[in-house]
Amino acid sequence: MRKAITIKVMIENDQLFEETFQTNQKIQVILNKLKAKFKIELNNRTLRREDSSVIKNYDQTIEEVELYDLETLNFYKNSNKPDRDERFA
Amino acid sequence: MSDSHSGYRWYKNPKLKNRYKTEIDTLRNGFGGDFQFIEQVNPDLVFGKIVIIGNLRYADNKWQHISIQFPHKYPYEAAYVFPINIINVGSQKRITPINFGKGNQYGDAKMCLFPRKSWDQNLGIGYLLRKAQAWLIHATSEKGFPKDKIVEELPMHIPHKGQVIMPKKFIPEPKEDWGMIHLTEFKKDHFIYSKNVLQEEVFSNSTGEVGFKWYRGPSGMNFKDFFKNSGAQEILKIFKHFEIDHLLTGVGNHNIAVYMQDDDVKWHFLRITISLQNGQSLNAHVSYYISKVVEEQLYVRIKDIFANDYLKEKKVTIVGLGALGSEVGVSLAKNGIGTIDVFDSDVFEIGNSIRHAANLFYIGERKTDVLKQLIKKVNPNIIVNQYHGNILEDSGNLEKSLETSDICIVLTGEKDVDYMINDIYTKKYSIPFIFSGVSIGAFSGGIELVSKDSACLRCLDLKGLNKLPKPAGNFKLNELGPEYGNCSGPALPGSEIDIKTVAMQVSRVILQVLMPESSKNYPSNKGSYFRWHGPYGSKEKKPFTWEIRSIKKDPNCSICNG
Repeated sequence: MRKAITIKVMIENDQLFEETFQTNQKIQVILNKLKAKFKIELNNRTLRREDSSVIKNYDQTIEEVELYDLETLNFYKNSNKPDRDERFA
Repeated sequence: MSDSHSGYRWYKNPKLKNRYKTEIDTLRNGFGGDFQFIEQVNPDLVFGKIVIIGNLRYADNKWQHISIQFPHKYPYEAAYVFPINIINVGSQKRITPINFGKGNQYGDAKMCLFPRKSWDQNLGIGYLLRKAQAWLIHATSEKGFPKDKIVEELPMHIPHKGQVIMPKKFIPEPKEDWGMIHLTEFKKDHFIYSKNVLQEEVFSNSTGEVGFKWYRGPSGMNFKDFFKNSGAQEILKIFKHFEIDHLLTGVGNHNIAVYMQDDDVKWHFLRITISLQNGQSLNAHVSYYISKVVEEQLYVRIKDIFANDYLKEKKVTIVGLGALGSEVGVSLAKNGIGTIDVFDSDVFEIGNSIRHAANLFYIGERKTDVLKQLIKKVNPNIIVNQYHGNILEDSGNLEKSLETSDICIVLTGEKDVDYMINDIYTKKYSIPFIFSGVSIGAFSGGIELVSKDSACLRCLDLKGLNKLPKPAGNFKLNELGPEYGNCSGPALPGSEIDIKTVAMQVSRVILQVLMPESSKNYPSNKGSYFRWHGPYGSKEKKPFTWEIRSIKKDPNCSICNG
């Protein structure tokens, strides 16, 4: 049974996207709308659920992934250059 | 307990407005049915922190009350999760933490959920709640945590009040069922078991206070003329001069000090011991104690090199008092810095001692206290302000220090602390910041000077320069277990030889940066980016090379251009 839920997505620079989707819509739809709003590229990013588990297959529906109402995902860029290495003092 | 500090608060940072909102919303909205939000505590009651009380589901529909506390510098540091009991007393709630006694938990009941280096700022409260759920399953089980799930284990189930240092293993003889162990208490609650293995005592106690009555000597004279020798007649002459010769009729010690205002050495301390000779006549013996004035004599050998009168007015803030921080602190003291503020959350332990400026005597003491003692032993006139605590939870002491500081040195070796200070403070305070650390084995090291003209750490990220040289040799070093008392991950191997090399260069750069332009007797600093290529050298440089460069800011850096 499809229903409408609100999904939020955080990206870099504290930008927040929030919209309502039907649960039979694909994850890809969320990302396409995110892209349109913030004019970002979708590659080289990782989509994570609220508990930081990774969503890899964007062809799955919201229902199949079992996203819940008002869940906040994040879709940060993967780090291109290695940042500060491990050291001690 | 109101939040009167003017320190950084993550939830008041406009750049984290949505981050704050979504974190709290995750909790208020129930985390998919696994969390019941009870209340957000008034920040004024908890030192300005964000603290949430709720109920967390784990295992098969079991629930546990928890308290979630966000440190002031979140998300550089993960939030803390505590299992709690809530008892309703009338309209009030009484909250007490629960220690399950199964390990992986601090003395204050905070859950130890993962090694500190596993935390990434892009993770959120949801990640922590999942970890807390898994933690509770083990903590409430009969068997407790399996070995591979233990992040940190306290060595004993009861807290310790002090320590006993045993220089060597002591194994009783097989036929001995009992005996005596004599320990020397070298400081309160700290003992060394030295009698059966060492030839002499290692640590000696001080003997306490001794009083000297002082008298003003005649003007226009020096002490050599006033007290020509240590014979009995000269002693009598002095005592008659000060009209205290009546004291010479009894046996015992008389401590007197003489102030000679016209002598180069003004103070002269004498202990005159009167004893009976052959049971009849009195015998006088004098011991003389030479006086030295630290502020006049300490820096005589370096005053022309480092302009000590000038450096005496300078203040340095040091964050991190481990191997590097301790050596830098002592070095700055030896070179004339007048005020040093020290920050650290750790206690000095036995494993620290072999690459720290301190030694075994200081075991069990806060590193802030240790550094203060070391610095004061170099020059008791140096002002040392100590701040013991986690810098990522600090509620305003760092701001208070930086407001009057001339330079800030960050020597924790912790990436999160480096970035936190870089992002929040380097632009806010117009003083230079120095960051430094060494690699595993201390076979390479780095120093970054961040100032108004030079690259910050984020600029270095953008330029791909935020890494240490890769040592050229083949070596295999084993990571150690998590340091006791520190849910931070393994201690890395490395020796004081190479750590001290980097520490001394840090001190040098600090002094060069602080010295006046007019100083002609020591070369001024020429770089902002220093790399030590260590005993193995690297692909790029020969062994023992210091690479020195100046790196400008990156135009795409959001910190420098934000």
